[in-house]
Amino acid sequence: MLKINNVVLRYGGIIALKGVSLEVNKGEIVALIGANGAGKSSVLKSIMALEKISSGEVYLDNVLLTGLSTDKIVNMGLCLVPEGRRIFTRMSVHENLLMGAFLRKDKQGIQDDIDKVLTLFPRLKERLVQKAGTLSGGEQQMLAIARGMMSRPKYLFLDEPSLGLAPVLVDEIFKIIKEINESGTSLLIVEQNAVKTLKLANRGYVVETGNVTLSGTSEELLSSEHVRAAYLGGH
Amino acid sequence: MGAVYALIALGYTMVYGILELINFAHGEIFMMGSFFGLLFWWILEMTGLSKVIPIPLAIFLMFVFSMIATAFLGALLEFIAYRPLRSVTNRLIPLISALGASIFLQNFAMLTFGSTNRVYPAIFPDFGWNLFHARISLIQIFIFVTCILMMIGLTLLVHKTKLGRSMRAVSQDYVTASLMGIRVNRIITITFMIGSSLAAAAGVMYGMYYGVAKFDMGYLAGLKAFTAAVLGGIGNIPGAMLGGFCLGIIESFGAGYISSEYKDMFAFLMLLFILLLRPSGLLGQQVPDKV
Ligand SMILES: Nc1ncnc2c1ncn2[C@@H]1O[C@H](COP(=O)(O)OP(=O)(O)OP(=O)(O)O)[C@@H](O)[C@H]1O
Ligand SMILES: [Mg+2]
Repeated sequence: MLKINNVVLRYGGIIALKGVSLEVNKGEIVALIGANGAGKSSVLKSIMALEKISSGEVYLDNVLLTGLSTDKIVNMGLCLVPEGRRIFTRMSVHENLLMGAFLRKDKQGIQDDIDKVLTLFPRLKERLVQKAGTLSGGEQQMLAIARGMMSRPKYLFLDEPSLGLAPVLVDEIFKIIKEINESGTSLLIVEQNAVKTLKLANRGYVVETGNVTLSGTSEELLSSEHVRAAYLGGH
Repeated sequence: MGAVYALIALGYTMVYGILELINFAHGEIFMMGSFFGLLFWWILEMTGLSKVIPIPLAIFLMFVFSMIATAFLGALLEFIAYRPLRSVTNRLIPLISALGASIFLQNFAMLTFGSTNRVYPAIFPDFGWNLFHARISLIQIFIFVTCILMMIGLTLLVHKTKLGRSMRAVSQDYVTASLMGIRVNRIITITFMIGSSLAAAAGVMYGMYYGVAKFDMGYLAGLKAFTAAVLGGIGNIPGAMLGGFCLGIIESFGAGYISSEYKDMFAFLMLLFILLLRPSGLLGQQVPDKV
């Protein structure tokens, strides 16, 4: 289980997280929703130690992660697919996938997993030797997710995986997220697309200006008046 | 000498590719590399080994000693002068630190090795061939071949190995590289070490060619190599190689047809022109792989 306890994060004078606590249980899909600037990405960055938190702790199966460097946290089975894709544009698609498997030594396993993600994302298979920067936005997003899977994470964090994608592609990505979860990976997903995400997720948290203001099962959140008014836009 | 400039230019370009920092102390790293080679020769002489071991082996060992020692010096430089400033957003501050490190190294060399020319051993056999109207000596061929081999080695390292792939990843996006599990600081240290050892090799060759090493030799050579790096498009590895060769050719033509007195000036005139006309360099941003 991943447990975030009372995390406070400051960017200079701005307090981005004012004591956030949340959990992701093994095998779950958890949604993190909230308005722009609420602090969703900051939660993920705090877990991965991309930003140094002022107080609070992050635990993985009761082991304290706070204070470890990002590479050690990755090594413990956590993986973040960051906001805005952040693929290595001047590397080929194949090299990007290999980067995802950077910490792994099992050559055969890596090759098997490349084959696996390529069947999941056939568009990438056709473009394996192409420079990643020349992919379309949607293809880049697929590559970012595929690269994230290459480390075989226990916990995968996706920051706005459907950003800028056509509706058909969004459905495709959500289907793949479900498959990733079924193969044993626990997920924490940040999304603007609140309805779709909550429908996919087991549970969810609502973040508002650095605080978790609401949490519950997806059904509870989907039927909550507050959530409906603020994020579901009357759907 | 173009090949030697290219070798030094690679160090500027690799560090810039990763940190967006112009390591102004790189010329001094080159100078220290030259002195480390010389130091090793002195050790051989003092122990009497210089008469025992064959010359090619002695030369080879000079390179190895100097490259290893300078690699550690480069790592130390990064650790002391740049790492503490990594999180500073003002880009001027690491630059000032670089200048400080450069002045420190020059003075250190002056105090340790003296302020006059130190004679490099003339251990290289003085062969030569006349080709058309120019004389090509064995040492020139040796320098050229060695430089080319090192550049091929570097290119293979950067493109064909896992280490090279992580260097490219760090240079493209170090935050995301850390998310892949790469130890970014370690890659930065290794980059400094590789760049410094190439400069060290250049320093030894420079010493052998001109027969001397001096505490301020890094200034001019460093500036010329920097010109070569800018000429090729800073941050761009093939660009630095190309820039070095171009600079060498322009310099020798300039010296031959105009005046050798002004030889050193051509490099700076060129730097001025590139910065005015084509700041992104010959290969600019079009060539994809920088480290
Ligand atoms: N590097 C930074 N420096 C200063 N302030 C920052 C930085 N990163 C984020 N912030 C601020 O912290 C707050 C939370 O940002 P965060 O990126 O976590 O929001 P978010 O919920 O992910 O928003 P979005 O939906 O737009 O991605 C915002 O007010 C933002 O301006
Ligand atoms: Mg965000």
